Amino acid sequence: MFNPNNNRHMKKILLMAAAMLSMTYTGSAQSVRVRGSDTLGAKLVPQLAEGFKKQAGGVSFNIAAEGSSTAFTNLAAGTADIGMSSRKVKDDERTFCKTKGVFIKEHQLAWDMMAVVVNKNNPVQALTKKQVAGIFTGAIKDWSEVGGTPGPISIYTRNTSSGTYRDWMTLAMGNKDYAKGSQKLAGNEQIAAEVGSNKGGIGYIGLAYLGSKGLKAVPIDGVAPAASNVSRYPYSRPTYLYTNGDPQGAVKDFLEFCKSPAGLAIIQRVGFVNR
Amino acid sequence: MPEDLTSGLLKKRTWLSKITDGQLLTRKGFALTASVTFGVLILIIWSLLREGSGFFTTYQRELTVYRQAGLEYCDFVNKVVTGHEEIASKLNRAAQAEMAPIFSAARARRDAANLAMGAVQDATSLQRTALEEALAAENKDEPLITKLREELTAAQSTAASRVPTNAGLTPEELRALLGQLAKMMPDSEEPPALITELSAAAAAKEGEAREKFSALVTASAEFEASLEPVATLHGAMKEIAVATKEAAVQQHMAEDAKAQLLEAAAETSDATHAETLRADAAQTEITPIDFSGRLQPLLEKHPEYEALLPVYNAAARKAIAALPATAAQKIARDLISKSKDSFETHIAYANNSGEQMKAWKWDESIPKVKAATHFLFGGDWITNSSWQDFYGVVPLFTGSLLIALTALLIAMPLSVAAAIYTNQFAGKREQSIIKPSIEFIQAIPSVVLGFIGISVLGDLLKSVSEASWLQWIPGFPIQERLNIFNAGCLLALMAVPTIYSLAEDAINNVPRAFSEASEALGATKLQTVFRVVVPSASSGILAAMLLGLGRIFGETMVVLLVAGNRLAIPDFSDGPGVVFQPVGTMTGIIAQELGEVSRGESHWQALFMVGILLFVVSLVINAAARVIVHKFAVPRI
Amino acid sequence: MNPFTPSNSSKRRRDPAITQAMRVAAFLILAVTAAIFIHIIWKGAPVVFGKGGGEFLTELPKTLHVLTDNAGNVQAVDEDDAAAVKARIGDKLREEKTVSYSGGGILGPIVGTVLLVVGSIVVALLLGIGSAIYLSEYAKQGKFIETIRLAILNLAGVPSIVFGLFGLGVFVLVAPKFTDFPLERSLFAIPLGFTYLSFEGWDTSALSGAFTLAFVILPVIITASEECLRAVPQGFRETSLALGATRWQTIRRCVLPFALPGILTSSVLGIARAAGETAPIMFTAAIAYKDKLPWQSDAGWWGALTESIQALPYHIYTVAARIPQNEYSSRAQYGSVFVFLVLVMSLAMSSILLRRKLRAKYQW
Repeated sequence: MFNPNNNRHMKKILLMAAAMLSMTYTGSAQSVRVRGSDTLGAKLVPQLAEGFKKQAGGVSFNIAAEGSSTAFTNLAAGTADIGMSSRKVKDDERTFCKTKGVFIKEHQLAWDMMAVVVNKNNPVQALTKKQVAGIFTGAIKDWSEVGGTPGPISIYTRNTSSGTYRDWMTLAMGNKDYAKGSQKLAGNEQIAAEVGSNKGGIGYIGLAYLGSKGLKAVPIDGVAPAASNVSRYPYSRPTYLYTNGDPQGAVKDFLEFCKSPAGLAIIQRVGFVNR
Repeated sequence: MPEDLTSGLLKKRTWLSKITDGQLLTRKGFALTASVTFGVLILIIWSLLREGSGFFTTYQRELTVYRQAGLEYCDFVNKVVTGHEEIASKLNRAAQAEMAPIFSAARARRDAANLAMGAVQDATSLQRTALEEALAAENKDEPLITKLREELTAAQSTAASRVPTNAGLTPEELRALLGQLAKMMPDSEEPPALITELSAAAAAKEGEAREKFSALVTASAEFEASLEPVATLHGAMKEIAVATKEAAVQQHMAEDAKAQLLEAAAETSDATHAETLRADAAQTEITPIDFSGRLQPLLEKHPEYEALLPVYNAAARKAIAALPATAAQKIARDLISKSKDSFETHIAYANNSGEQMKAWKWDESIPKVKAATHFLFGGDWITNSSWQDFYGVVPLFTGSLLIALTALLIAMPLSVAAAIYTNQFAGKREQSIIKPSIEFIQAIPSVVLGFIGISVLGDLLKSVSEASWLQWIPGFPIQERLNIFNAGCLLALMAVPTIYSLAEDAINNVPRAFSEASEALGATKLQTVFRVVVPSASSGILAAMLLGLGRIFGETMVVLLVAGNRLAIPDFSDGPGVVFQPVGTMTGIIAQELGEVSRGESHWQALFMVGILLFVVSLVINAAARVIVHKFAVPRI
Repeated sequence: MNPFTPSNSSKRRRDPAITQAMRVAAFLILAVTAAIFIHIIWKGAPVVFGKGGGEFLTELPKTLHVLTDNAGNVQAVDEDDAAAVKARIGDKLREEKTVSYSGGGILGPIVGTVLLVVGSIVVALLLGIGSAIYLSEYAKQGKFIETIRLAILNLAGVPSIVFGLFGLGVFVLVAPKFTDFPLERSLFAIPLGFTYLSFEGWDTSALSGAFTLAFVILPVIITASEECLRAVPQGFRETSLALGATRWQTIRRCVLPFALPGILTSSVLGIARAAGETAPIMFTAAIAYKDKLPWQSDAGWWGALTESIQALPYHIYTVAARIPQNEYSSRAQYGSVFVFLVLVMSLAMSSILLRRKLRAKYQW
């Protein structure tokens, strides 16, 4: 298990790591570790990071996007400097972090709109909130029930760690559970790909991913998912960045960059909404 | 033995071996290496057990909270609600199917026009966005807008000319539509005139249909509405239960936090720091949750529910009775009769649910065994739920098993036939091509196959399944491109080398005397092979199959990428068509969910339990293969 | 009468048909495999050997920016060049899309895979061959050793994801390391005066991944090496011992050289397996995106062991599952798959060639 040959080497490494630990992580480290939401981490944050690097230089980013829950597990474990989350932190997560000595601080980033997407060849032109809830909870099982061509509905959802998974339950499904037949996919792109290739498919994706092949966003109660409708569209939600205590050093600069005009321009270009 | 005699043979002793016995040292060195290895191999089991062991306790606690907070109580009502939804959905579909002949033509025309509009809009989105931006700008640049308008019109007319001719529209209509599509502008309120017209026509037809089949439509709507009061009550009950559960979870977290603070205080050497920690711990208030008291408002809803039941019963029964006895469309007829059948069981359950709820006891304890059976035989794997998390491994196990069987069904005949052929019929040259090539397949990494499945095979299978002459195959056309069959095909390719080389070995090991004796009796080559050689090698072939099964069952990347990840027991009503459904698997769930949970949570422990189960299954399969080889081996001659 | 005599001519016609059917089965397997290879080579080889192939092997993965101007001209450029191109297009820029991981190259994943493979093979060979020598040459053969042997054999069939769990449970979370500040999760920390030996694990790092992979291939290497050792005729050992050689001399001069071809073959096959596995490194070493090579971090060269890394198989998983399948992403997808396949296949191939060469040298 512990190879004695590595003993000496390990010690050196770990002494160095310990030295690093003794300074505060966020304060001095020039490598910013970002963990959490796929919605944010697949496109928006990497691009913000790029923009920031151009300005500040010398800072390196290390981004992994596996779902919002991972933001808090990593913050608590001390393996992230910034947590990305597409939902607000849950009370039990905050408490959990506290038990690990991590006091998380919230920074609102941008608004995201979750568009309901169907296949381009699906004749359904509009849905109501009630219909969407019915479809995702499994009460509505066939497209003919919502005015489409008869055929079973294939539901594509994000995987369970995703903040979007949870948000969608709250925003669109009246806090009920997903239909048993729903398929859990790893990210927005995968949902887009499956809905784009399946005539009976339905799913939800962030506004930033709408451009994919074979997709069509459906207006909900007559409101189309578009940046201009952010206040009226039923499935809009804010997204957040979280830090361990007050941000310092590069992390602080990065968060300030996100609110600067250059950062806001990136946010808008990627398909998120400033509000 | 005198020293000088051996000095020629033995190497001169070095300083090290003079200190201690060199032989012993080497021996000890190897023994150490070996014991480190075995130690770690034992660690495998230890680490799995360590991380997974707490699962049954945690799950038992969660299930207890599920009961004590009254979530279980609400689920009696929930079952009524879902049963109702099921029937309502059937009736709704029946009504749609019955009306379809009247409005389907009009709808098809409208949809065709809409699709054409969508295609044109898609092709010209760049120009449209540019114009939209110019229109939205604060100080309008009129010449630019005009120019952009022209560009958009030009782009739209080219796009319109490329629109495929849609069924349902007459050539004149199509021409008119394309003309209108070319002139669409983002700032005009109205959609193209023809689309409005067609939409109105479709709506009129829908109205006509509803009129004609008003009995069915009203009955269906009334049935749907009949549950309204029960659903409202259910919602109210759920809120109470969830609040209690949240409180229980909070309290548990607080207990943990307090324990940790106290532990930290005990460990620290700094007295003042310990004092602050203890003060923190003291501040963490832990008031035991009064489940009984919190349950009261929930239980008080019971009379209300009991009172609602007969009302629901009457309303629903009235709606069902109002259903027309017969319907013109076969689909509608089937659906109606099915709803009538399931209605009886549903209403019987609903009527009985009040009694069941009365008999329910919140303080009945849940034994640990129950947690184990819930895990092993539970049909739900629900995590991060807003209601209650369940860890039932059955859907995952069925998924893994179905994929493994599909793969085996494909791989077995191919590889055994190939093994028989290479060993018994192929010439030297052919043998030297086939054998190493098939064994070479083993080196293809599984993630590469998974990538092929997601990028090529899925779409290929889907388009093949849409061919009209293949529609007799159950499950065709395939709806999901990620499914059991897709994963099965790829895993079959992974299993082929294992099965092939073991089966070939087994056939090769059949003593020559057997086949010689058979041939001496005048049997043809084929008879010898199938009646003498293969039966003698059957135990080896069986073992090969089992080891192949083991390889497939434990594979992760292909199923993670290609199986579709639907965490439900597949619907077997399709018969063999079930292989075109997506499933979740045991290996896939670990790979997908482990990265996202924090250590020590019930979810984390559950995933390690799945790992332990996989470990056990693979050991059983391996052991079985070994036993078969030993027990039924052909005696060597 | 001979019961096997074909009774009629139809059987005589059927026999060759059945033989041919089996032949078709054999070649069908090869055809499908060939089709997969050709598809990957067809789409992947141009990425490496065509224009920009050098960059693909020497750059880190980057985000690809797809810029469309007013005239509808589309340009796909890496993030570094995006600014320059955007400046040139100016306000004629109409649309900008991004595709993650699709620009740049795959140097990071290649380096990570090499680190993992080298690390795991060092560990696996040290432990594997040592254990095999002990089992076959030193240990007293009996029930106990037989049980151990069987246990190792069975472990070879354990799913790799279970090894991933094991690596997470042991190397990431509890393996011992020296630190002045033991983490809270530490199983126990032994004070050594100047520092602590804390059982708190190595985190997700190349080291954890290499050890995990080593144990994935260890059962195979032990079993195969032991088989090779035992295949050396007993007479060799007896002769050597009779001449007065010590046990170790016997092993060193009379057993190992003859077993070496087999041991090396199985080891190289083991390397190929280690390079190809994804599941064991998912939780122990791999990370989807990193903009620096492991040793460019603050930890310096030690970062090659202590940093989480990108690895080719995990990169393929990422580009297969996380980004869309379109004309912009196919370069990264097929390029990575092609490079990976060539790497693993050449390892497997070299094991076969190695065996041939060494077999010819050590014959008895």
